[in-house]
Formats: sequence, C-alpha cells, structure tokens
Amino acid sequence: MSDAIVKAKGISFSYDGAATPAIAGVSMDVERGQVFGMVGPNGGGKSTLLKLVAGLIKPEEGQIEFDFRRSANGRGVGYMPQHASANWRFPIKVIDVILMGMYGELGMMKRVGASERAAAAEAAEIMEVGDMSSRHISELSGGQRQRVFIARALAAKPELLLLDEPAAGMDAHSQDSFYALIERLRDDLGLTIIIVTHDMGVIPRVCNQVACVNVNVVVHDKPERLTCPVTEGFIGEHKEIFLHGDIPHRVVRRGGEVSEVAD
Amino acid sequence: MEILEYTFMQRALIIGALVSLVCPVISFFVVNRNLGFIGVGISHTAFGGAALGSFLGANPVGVAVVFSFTAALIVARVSQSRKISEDTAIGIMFSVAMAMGALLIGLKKQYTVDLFGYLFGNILAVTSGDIIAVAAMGAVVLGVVALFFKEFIVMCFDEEYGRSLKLPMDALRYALLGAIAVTVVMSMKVIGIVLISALLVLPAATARMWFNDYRAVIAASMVYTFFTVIGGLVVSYYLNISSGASIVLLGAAVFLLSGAVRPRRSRF
Ligand SMILES: Nc1ncnc2c1ncn2[C@@H]1O[C@H](COP(=O)(O)OP(=O)(O)OP(=O)(O)O)[C@@H](O)[C@H]1O
Ligand SMILES: [Mg+2]
Repeated sequence: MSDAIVKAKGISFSYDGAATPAIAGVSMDVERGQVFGMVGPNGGGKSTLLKLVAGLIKPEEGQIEFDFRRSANGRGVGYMPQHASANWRFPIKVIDVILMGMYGELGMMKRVGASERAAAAEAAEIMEVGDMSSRHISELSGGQRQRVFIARALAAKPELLLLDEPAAGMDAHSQDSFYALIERLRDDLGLTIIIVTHDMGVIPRVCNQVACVNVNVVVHDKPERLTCPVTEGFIGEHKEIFLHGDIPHRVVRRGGEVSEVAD
Repeated sequence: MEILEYTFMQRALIIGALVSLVCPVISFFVVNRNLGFIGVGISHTAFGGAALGSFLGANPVGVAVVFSFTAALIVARVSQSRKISEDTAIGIMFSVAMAMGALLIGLKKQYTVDLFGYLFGNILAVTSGDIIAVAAMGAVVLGVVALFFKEFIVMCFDEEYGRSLKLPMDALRYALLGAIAVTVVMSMKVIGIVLISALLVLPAATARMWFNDYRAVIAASMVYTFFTVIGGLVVSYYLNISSGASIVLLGAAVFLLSGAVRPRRSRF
C-alpha cells in the first residue's frame, strides 16, 4: 500500500447552512490502477466526497493530494456526476457532448481541432456510442446517455475517473457489460476508477478497495473477502453504516481520525 | 427602388442588418438558458435609463446602456443568492425603472415623442452616429461570444459540468448577461424596448423547431432574423406603421407558420 494516486488527509466539508457536516475528518488512500468502490446509505456523503476529489467543492479542513504520472498540467481527473444536470432541450449532438470533456484541457478561447475530434471519437468508441455520434442527446436512452457522459469524462484521457452511480438505471445485461468495460479501462488503459454504487454484488467482482461512506469513511482493502457468506458478515459488521443515517460510533467517532479497518 | 432613395430608410436598413447579425446569436443563449424574462427586465430597465438621459439632456442611449448593464450585473449577482430569485429581482427593477420613466415623461411633456420612439422603435430618428454606435456595440457582443463560444455552449448544456472542468462559469454568466444588456440597447431604435424581447426569443425558438445542432440553430436564427427585420422595415415603410410592431408581427407570423409546418420530430 504505497502507490496512492489520491491521498485525502483529514478532509471535512459542510454545505452552507447545514447543521452537521456532510463529510468529516476523512482520510483515505486510493491506490493507482485500481477500482475503488464507494458504498453507503443515501445522504451518506458519497457524492460529496466525489465532488471534493473532482475539485468542484473545496474541503474546509484537510487536503487532497494527487500524484499524477501522465498529466503534465495536473488535470488528470475525469468526472461523471450522479444526476446529469444537463439541459436536454439544448440542441447538441452526442459527439459535441463528448468533446466538452476536453474543453478544460484545451483552455479558454481555443478552438476545437482535429486532435480533439479524434480523441472524442475514440472515447465514443470505447464506450460503444460511436454509432450514435450525430444523434441529438435527448434521442438516447438513459443507459446510453450514461455511456455518453462517461465517454465525455474519458475524452481528455484522465488518469483518474470518477463515476457517481454510473450503472443506475441500466438493465442487468447492460450492467454486466458495463462492469466488464470498467475492468478493461483499468487493465488496458491503466486507469484508476472511483465508482459509487448501491449494487453490493458488484463490489467483490470489480473493486480492489471499498470505502463505506457515512460522514466518516472506512476503507476495506480486501473486498474479495466480502464474497458470499462474508458479504453477510461485511454488512453485519458495519450494519449501522447501511441501516441508519447515524455515524457508526463503534467504528469511527464523529470527526475522528484515519479509520482504516484491517480486515 | 424608391425605398432606397431615402437616407433615413438606408440607415434603417443598415441598422436592421447589423441588429440581425447580433440578435439571433444572443437569442440562442436567451432561449437555451431560459432568460426570456430577464431579457424583458433588462430592456425595460434600459427604458428608465433612456428616460433619465433624455430628461437630463444627456445621451439617452448612453444612460440606457448604464442602466441595462447595471440590471444585468444585479441579475447575475442575485442568481448566486439562495434568498432572492432572479425573477423577483427583475420584477422589482423592471417596475421601478418603468415608474421612473413614467414620472419623467410626466414632468417634461415635450420628450414624450422621443421616448415613445425608444419604447416602440422609431427608424425615422436613426442618425449616422447611431449606426456607428450600433456597429460598435454589435462588434463587442459578437466578439465576446466568439471568444468564449465553447464555454457558453457548456454553460447552456451543463453548467455544473463546466465547473468540474474548472471553467469560470460565474464570470461567463456575467459576460452573457452583459452581452444581453448591450444587445438590448443597440436594438432600441429599430425595434424599441417593449418589443426587443421578441428578437431575443423568436429567432432561436423558430430555428430550434427545425434543427437539433447548435451551429445549425444559430445559422437558421440569423437567416430568420435578417428576413423578418428587413421585411418588417420594408412593410413598415409601405404601410406607414411602426417599424418595431411590423418586425415583431412578421416575426411572430413566421414563427407560427413554422410551427404549423415543421417536421414532426420529438423535441425533447
Ligand atoms: N447542494 C447541497 N446543498 C446542501 N446540502 C447538500 C447538497 N448536496 C448534498 N447535501 C447534503 O449532504 C449530505 C450528503 O449528500 P450526498 O449527495 O453526498 O449523499 P450520497 O451519499 O451521494 O447519497 P445518495 O446515495 O442518495 O446519492 C446529505 O445530507 C445531503 O442532504
Ligand atoms: Mg450521491
């Protein structure tokens, strides 16, 4: 456990006017080239933690350190939000949505060129939406739109991909091929992927690390031990995390220190 | 053609052509960001400025720019607040500025005709200085849009995602509202403050019926605006009616016709 691409050090965050923090005293290491799952109850702070990593919001305490190898300018992150805040009426084709993924890298006032178009087309192919490139975004199904948004996050060739419930609303077959794809992104492209999910079945299958998020965070480094009978034990062991909105006092104190449970 | 022999008509057509280069582009953003009411508010606030300028003997267009720009800044600022909505802020500013205009009209009766022109458009009043001012304002607006075009597209489609790309979405919102404010003032003499919101909404709304790609929508909006503005000016000349009214009514007729014959395809 040494090659971390993301190191969160004691980060806390509260939304404006909220009585309690959404994320408190969280420390975690995300290992390079792995799939890092995030699970936890609704409102537990998974999306908040992902936004903190994406840099959309700034931690009030602590810091997040990145160790990118390839991205020279430090923009190694591709982000797919949970609820696409997209304006579906907007007249835009699928390929132009994917191109947006590169606007950050490209910089302000610069025009899209052939290399950006090629990268967008490549991302579309990876996510298997290449044949829909010239369709209007609203003409796609929910699952297809999800793929387009992942392609957008992939377009700038990030080292770290943040996916907030990407498989929500996909049918079982699509989920299967989707998770196979996630593994290919990790194994073939060497991506590190943080994925938020409510699908406990997928954890032992694709994740190398799992974080249980409920204001505080507990990271498990051996999710493969959570298979079958152990899964029961896993959920049982941290029952509070999944069943209550409360902080599992047994595991971590509010605002507590680093809490990695060695399985 | 007889219509082209009159200097005032030549100027009107030149200003009309300039306006129809700029309005459709701004219209595209107004329609896609649902800024229609904000456009109405900014333009009516500009009227308060024009009335004040006229009352003080200052340049009405200059004061109108200051007013509409201030209104745009306040709206952009308020949209970040959770307590007051943009709608509320516009509702207040708009009526206060109109009340001020009404008060000033009442105080100085001889300015009524002049101000009526700002309300509904008066192409007879267009001077060569106006053409230069309109061309300069149009160049500023199109320049801003051209520089930040792809960022504006992101803002219209998915502002939250734009933030995750570290694009300065707040600054861009100010820039867009500022561009709307300038567009409103530059269109004042041709179409008038009360009617300008038509040119902020109709072009892109009409073009959107036909196209699903933003480039195509903008191009079609430009064609639509050119023909309705120039057509409206010509009609107003021959029928001797208000230029603003004829542009808006012609534009609305094209919009309705377009809606009646458009291809039946899902727009959502
Ligand atoms: N924009 C916001 N403003 C204020 N409070 C927020 C905002 N977004 C989230 N919260 C609050 O922060 C807490 C964490 O929310 P978050 O969206 O991170 O949860 P989550 O784990 O992603 O839940 P879910 O499984 O439902 O997606 C919740 O209590 C929520 O009400
Ligand atoms: Mg969430």
